[in-house]
Amino acid sequence: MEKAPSADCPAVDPAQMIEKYQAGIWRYLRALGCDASLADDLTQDTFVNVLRKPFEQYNEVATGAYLRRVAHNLYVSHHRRQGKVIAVEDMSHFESYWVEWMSDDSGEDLILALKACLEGITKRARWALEMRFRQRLPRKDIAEQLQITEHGAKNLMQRAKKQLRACIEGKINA
Amino acid sequence: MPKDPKDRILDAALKEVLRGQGPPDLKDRIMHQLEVDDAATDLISTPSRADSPLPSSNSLNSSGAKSTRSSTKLSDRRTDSGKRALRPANTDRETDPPPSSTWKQSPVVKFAIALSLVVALISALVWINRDRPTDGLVERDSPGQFEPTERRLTDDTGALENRDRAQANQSIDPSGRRQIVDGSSSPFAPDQNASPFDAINDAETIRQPDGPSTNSSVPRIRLSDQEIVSRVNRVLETSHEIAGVAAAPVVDDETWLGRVFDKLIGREPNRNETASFLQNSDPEKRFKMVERIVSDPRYQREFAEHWSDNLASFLLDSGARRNSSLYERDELVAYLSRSVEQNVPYDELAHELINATSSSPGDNVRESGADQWMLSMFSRDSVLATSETSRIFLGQRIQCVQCHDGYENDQRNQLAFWQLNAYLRQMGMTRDNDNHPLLVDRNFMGQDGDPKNAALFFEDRRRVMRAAYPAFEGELSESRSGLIAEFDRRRELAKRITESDQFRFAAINRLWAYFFGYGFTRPVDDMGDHNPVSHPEIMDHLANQWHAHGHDLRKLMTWIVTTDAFAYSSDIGSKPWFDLPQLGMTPLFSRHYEDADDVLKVDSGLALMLRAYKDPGASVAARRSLLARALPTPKNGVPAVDLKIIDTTSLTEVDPRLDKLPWGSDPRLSKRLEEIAASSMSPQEKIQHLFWLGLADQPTRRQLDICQKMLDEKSSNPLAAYQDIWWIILNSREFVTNR
Repeated sequence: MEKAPSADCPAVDPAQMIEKYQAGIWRYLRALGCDASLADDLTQDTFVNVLRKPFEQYNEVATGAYLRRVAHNLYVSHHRRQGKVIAVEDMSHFESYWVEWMSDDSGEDLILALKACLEGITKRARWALEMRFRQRLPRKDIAEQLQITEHGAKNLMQRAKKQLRACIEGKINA
Repeated sequence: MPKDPKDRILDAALKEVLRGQGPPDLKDRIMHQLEVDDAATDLISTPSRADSPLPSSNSLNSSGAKSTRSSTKLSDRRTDSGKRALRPANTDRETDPPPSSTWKQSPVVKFAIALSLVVALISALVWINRDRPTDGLVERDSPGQFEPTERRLTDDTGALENRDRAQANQSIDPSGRRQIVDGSSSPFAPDQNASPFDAINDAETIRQPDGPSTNSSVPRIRLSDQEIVSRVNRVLETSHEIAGVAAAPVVDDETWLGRVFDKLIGREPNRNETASFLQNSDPEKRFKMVERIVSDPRYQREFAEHWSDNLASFLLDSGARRNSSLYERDELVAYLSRSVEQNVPYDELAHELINATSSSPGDNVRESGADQWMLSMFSRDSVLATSETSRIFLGQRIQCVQCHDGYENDQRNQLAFWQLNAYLRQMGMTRDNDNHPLLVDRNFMGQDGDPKNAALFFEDRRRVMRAAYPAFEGELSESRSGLIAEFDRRRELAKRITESDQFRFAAINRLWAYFFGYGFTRPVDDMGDHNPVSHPEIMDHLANQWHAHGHDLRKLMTWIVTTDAFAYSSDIGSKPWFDLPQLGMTPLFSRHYEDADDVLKVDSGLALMLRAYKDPGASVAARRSLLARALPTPKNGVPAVDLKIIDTTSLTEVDPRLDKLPWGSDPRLSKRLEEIAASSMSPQEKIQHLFWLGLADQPTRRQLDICQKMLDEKSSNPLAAYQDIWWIILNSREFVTNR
């Protein structure tokens, strides 16, 4: 007789599992340092590796952590396959901060919090961040546009990010 | 201290929000890939289809086909195996285990497949173990095989493998002559059985009579400048005789002076300097003029500026991708300028650059900025730093052997690359309160977590994982520790590099190429058995004496510039086919190679142009010099341009190539230039616009400053200044390199 799925260990619907965790894994890989296309590929590999073998879920938190671990190892292996040796980072800190900030596994709450917090910084700071992250301008150009020194531009962006961090943590912990 | 993880998470989130680049829906892709995997599994379980090609279960499939899998099918498979613990993920999960749950073959087929697997496994083991060491799966360190080129330089036959210099000495023929190792393929190459040396003064260096030679033979006799130059002249003269080449005549004083000023301080001599030199009847005046330029306080600022630019260019302008947000070129240039001004020995300079950390307030002010070079290449694996350190300070390109051994006739190997890399793993980067990147020392814990024997691992072409520890030129370091307190690897590397002969050869080759247009190898930073030195006796001699003279860069420049060869004209003579390096032949340095003259550089071009604006007397010479560098010159070195025209018009209009070159004749570009000049942008923005347009880069602070001054001088006709700036940009080496 087949063992019926229990409430403690529900059978996994792969489609639902992918829908639930793929965004978080993708964002996790981006935070590790992947560009968008590599993040796409490694996200796919993560789920394929996990789902091609029998998998039972204990709880959502454990599943999320397990998927992130697989993703991280795939990231390391990817670099190794390129013929490059990379130093493996101590991921325990990274994982703990990730869990602290990600109230849900998709990371949507963080993104929503960030969008709200961006409204609270000055227009000048917002412009500096746009130049840095959207236009990908070097610091020199940003300083030229803002008509300040490079150090001033660095300070401006650093203060803006500190403000955003505090705001995000306030929203997440609220 | 590594970057705060929350900063990394925040940065990724900012990229997503500000670029609008959120996570895609990969569900269809993933489900399709799982279906493909399932199909592959089913295929294996069906005997009649065992020979069909199996789809790769690891290939990335982006077809996004809709999934037809029901949620119960996977559940069935999972419940069959019962409850399982959460498995820890590891890289072994990347490989597919055998599909045990769907095994349905007959016993005969099972046996056949098992037998073929066993045979394949045995064959693989035999293949792998043919080179395997007996101590386990991971190949531990063995001495690398970097062969220093100094072996070839002291090798009389050019093919000696034994490093014993006693044997090399014994192969000298009775006349005391040694052979020229000439890599030229020319049928007119010098006779390899003759030697240019009249007599080798073996007392010049200490030779080890028994055993292998050492890399740090200390010159016992320190010759005078004149003796050193005289020897170089004799070697070249003899090589010309052997080749049957008549050296070109020596140029007149005025031409020689212009050449020396140009190469040493990047400008033409003014009227007073020229007149004073021409009137001087001292037979030693050329030598004394060079000494004055390199050491007189009146020329120090220009000398330091010119050579700090040159050295920065040697260090940074290799084409290697650097992270421009991590370093400041101007800071490096400032460091080099201070060092040149104080005549810091070259080995000390190299030591500071390799071993640099970001300075703190109170540290040595002169050394501030030395960290910018390493910062420009910083990465956690120090791969770029490894290849650049080797290229610049050892004259050896090793970036290719990161992934595989060198090819035939090439002694470089992959292990040696990673052994060198192991020295550079004790670097880290942090940021100060202003978010400036700081280069710091950081313990290397080893990739297997054993800091006392801190190994790094790499995969060779046989996919064997190998370990590498610090080793230089085949010699393992005494310590394997990754803890800086126990073994400062970078300091050790700097010491070993600067003590090696290859370090001196690399510098001499590069400087010789700078002054003459061609070095003793081509390219200058790819020396080795695969690319032998053309004049090993000169190289050896200069290296020994430069070592004896404390690696004084000014001394080395003085020797090179005061050779007879530097004073030859560009006349080809009656036997042109003997010395045509532009056709791939080995240069014999029997004439001045006008075609290899240093192409115009933006910095020196702008400075020269500004000088022309300020000093009407220098205007003609300055414009002539600029045109001469950009245009192919007739053999007299005088451009065929009406001087009257270039006195009054901008360079853009008088460049005779304008009709032939696309950018000059393109009316859209000249119209664009006028639009830029007439726009409402500030002068600074216009200059930046031209630099972005031509060089895809910002002007440095110095370049911006000079351009601003040019505009100030041409306030009545700013368009002419913009045209001149644009002309310099388009004709610069930087433009050619970036194109």
